[in-house]
Amino acid sequence: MPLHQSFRRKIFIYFIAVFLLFTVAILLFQLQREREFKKAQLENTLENVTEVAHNFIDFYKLNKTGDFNRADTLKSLIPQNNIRLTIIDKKGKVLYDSFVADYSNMENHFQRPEIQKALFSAFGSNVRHSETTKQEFYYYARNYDDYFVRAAMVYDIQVANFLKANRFFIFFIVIIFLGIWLIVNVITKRLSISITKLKDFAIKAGRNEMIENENEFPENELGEIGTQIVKIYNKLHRAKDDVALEKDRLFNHMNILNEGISFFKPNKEKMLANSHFIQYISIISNTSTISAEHIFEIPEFKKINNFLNENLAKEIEFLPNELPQIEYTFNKNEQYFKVLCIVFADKSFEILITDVTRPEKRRLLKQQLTSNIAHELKTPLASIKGYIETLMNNPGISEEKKKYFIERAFAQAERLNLLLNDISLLNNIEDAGELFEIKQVNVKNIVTDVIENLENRLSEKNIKCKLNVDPEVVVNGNDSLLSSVFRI
Amino acid sequence: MTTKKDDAINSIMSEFEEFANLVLHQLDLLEKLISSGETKLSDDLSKELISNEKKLDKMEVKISDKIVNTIVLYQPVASDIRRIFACFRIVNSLERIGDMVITIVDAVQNIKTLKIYAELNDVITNMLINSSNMVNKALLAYINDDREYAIWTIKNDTVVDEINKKMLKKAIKKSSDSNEENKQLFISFISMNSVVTNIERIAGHATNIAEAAIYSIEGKDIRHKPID
Repeated sequence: MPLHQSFRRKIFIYFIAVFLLFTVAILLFQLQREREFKKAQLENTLENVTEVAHNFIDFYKLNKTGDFNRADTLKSLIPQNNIRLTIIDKKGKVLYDSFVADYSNMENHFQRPEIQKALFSAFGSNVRHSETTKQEFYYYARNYDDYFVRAAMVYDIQVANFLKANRFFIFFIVIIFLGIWLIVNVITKRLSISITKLKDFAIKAGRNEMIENENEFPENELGEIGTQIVKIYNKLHRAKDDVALEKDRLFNHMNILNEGISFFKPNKEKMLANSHFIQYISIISNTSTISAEHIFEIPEFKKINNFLNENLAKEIEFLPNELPQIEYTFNKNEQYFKVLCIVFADKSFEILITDVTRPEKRRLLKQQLTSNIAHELKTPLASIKGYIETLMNNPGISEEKKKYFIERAFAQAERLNLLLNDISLLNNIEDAGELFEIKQVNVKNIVTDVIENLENRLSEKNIKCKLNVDPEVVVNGNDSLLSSVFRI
Repeated sequence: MTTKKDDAINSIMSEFEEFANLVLHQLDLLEKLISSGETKLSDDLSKELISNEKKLDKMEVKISDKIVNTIVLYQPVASDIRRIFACFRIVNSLERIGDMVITIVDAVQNIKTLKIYAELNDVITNMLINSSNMVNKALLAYINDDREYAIWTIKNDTVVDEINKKMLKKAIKKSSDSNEENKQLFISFISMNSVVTNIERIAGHATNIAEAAIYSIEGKDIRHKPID
């Protein structure tokens, strides 16, 4: 996992760099302090030596006697055995040197830096290679009234001691640094767990996968953020899945429908359209297409277009329960289509096309039937009215004629009754066709029944009926309706 | 939550829709020509057919490129990859249909015996309307995930084949004179033509395979381009 590595390493390097800087600063500062302290200590020791030497000279009046050889006694008095003691007069001449036997031949020390410094500020110090003894010394010179006393310590030994003393401190710092190293390592590891988890999540989210390991984040703020993000993502994912499922269901439903239905976005771009819809617009426009958007180019849908242009304008707003809609029926190539368009509150809209050829044709047929029935009813009614009018207007009419007219009127009334019965039967079929039980009916039996019922009338008119129906013929239908067919 | 991948697929689908509509338009034009019973077509129509065919060729390459890019860039899975691959297959078939429209138009212009054409015209028109309808429904099945239409088309194929065979035989019986020898000659010619046409189609498919091979080797789409 390269991202994890680099992120963790980065944090780690940053932390370590900061601590390293801090440690080095502390170390340098401490070293400086140590050096100062050591120097002060050294100078203190050397000052004591010079004081002792001065007191010794003063006590034995060596200054007066000039017998500086006695200063050798000092060597055994001073606890440190590696201290070089030099006594120099005001002109720079070496009066005594504990490291050099023949000091009377030593060169003039007046120009030595420590002497020069002591001349002006009571004491002076300097680290230097000794010309006389060829050794590295730390010199400390003090100015007394008649002479200088100079104490010196071999410097390399001091440095060795000095470093020796510091080794523990450096060791301590290194231990602390290693400790911090380990702590930083643990901290970055903990931090990077959250980041790694977030990264894994991001990769999965990118692949649109469902994420289940919500509880795997560590318990810190970052982990909390991660857990929340995963929760939100999962919710969104589930919602998206649900929407997709709903859409699927809607689509399946739309495909089963006999209506052509399509949903459009406010910019007239298709969201969903079923196959019927596209087929209908293909039929209506007489061109093959698979784009639902084609509907806006068909002249038959100009009304819809105008309606949409009116209602899709931005400034128009409407309530969800008062959605604008338009509905009309038109006829194209002997087929009737009903179009319904509804604009929703978010300016998306729905267009519904229904093939109403059959109901429309039935409606027209019914219209025709009604006018025919009216006509049929009028004829007997007019006759009845005519006969009765004749009877009323001619009171002196003969009994025979009267009877004739009444019989005619009765016959017409009977016909009217039959007509009305037929109409109510038709209505029954129309309104409650399902109430008539449909079963297998033997045609021959029905026709035989009808012939038997009509036998009297047939014989009256001397009509002979010959039945030639196969007894095996069976149809699905309602027996009473079928017998009325044959009775007419 | 639309991702870049969804955008890419939507873009392919809208291009595909345009492409499919253009092929259907070509079929409509052909239908008009055939049902008119004319063998000559107007300059405008001929120009439109040719320019549409060129457009189709360009669009096919473009859609194929887009499909390859989408697969490489977004690694679609499951239904997405199925949809894209189906699109790829459909585009190939549609392109072939487009080519065939042009071949048919050329063939119609070569018919010199107008009498025979007029007599067979009904059969041909019927076949064409049936076939166009199948293309239309098959495309709708894909666009709308409408399984019914797809099954209808697949079942209809065998039915249409059967009906067309019968209709052709009937038409030959009706159209040619009663001379048995002429009838046989007629059937032979038609059968031979069918043999030749199908051989030609084999060659055409071989070309397609070769083009696919070059695409696989060099990554170059050389469809509808002259080869040096």
